[in-house]
Amino acid sequence: MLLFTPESIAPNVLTVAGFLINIFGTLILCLQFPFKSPAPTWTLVVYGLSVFIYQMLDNLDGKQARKIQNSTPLGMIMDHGCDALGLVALGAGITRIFCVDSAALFLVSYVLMVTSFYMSAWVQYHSNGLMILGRFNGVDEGIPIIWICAFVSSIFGQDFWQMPVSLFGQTLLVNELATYSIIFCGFGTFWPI
Amino acid sequence: MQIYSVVTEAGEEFTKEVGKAMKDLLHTILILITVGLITVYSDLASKHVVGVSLGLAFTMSRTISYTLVCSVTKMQFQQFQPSLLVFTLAYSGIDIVR
Repeated sequence: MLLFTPESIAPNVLTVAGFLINIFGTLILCLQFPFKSPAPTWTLVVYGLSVFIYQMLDNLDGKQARKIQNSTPLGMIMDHGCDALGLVALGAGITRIFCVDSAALFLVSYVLMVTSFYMSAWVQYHSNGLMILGRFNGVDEGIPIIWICAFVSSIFGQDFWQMPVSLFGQTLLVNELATYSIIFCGFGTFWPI
Repeated sequence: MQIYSVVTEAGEEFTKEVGKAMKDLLHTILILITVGLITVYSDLASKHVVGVSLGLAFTMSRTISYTLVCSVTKMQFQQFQPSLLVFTLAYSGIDIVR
């Protein structure tokens, strides 16, 4: 993608474009009420595509900045600031895709997601700008999981997330299993391997 | 576990004023207590999971952006922001009133 990006495009334009596309997709998905009922298939496809494009542009902006030798602290704030705001959209999107029943479980996973991101910013503040991303970080693993979930929902329907699964003698719903996975990743994200 | 791991990974680069750095995590404990309160002692979380998660997301995204700004501009980080206080006090207050 970097090869096809003209040098006249500023990295911050890519950042903001990605963020706006993410918000656009989320609004389309989440404006279908009531919130816990299944969303129309086309909204899930649009949401999946918007998150995919957001991820691509989010990764592209830094590379574009280095390509045109225009890396600035403002660009870093723009990039991560948009990612932080994008958390709102991604959180709303996951809730909508999973048709969450267990609020407590979902909130625990969501708190872990946002605190993991805060940890990265916190360590950056206290380590002279050193940026540490976790082993399972939102950018590389979290966002692809979200757009894959959106596409899976559009193919198999959102009932897929309500299917019971037997695991170690326990019966769980698929969305509960997915939420437990997020919790596991939230705890283990920075674990040095 | 997250704190230990992230500090270990930062290694030598991490500030020597560890106590001061830890104090900047106090607001996350406040948020955890608030979310715990509304989940265990009220039906707010189950009835309004979207509202609660959106409030949490906006609060944290504001804090994260502010931390980044402080990191770049070498400003003093103030963790108790109005958004955080509104989130914690409003939700805990609703619990107590009800």
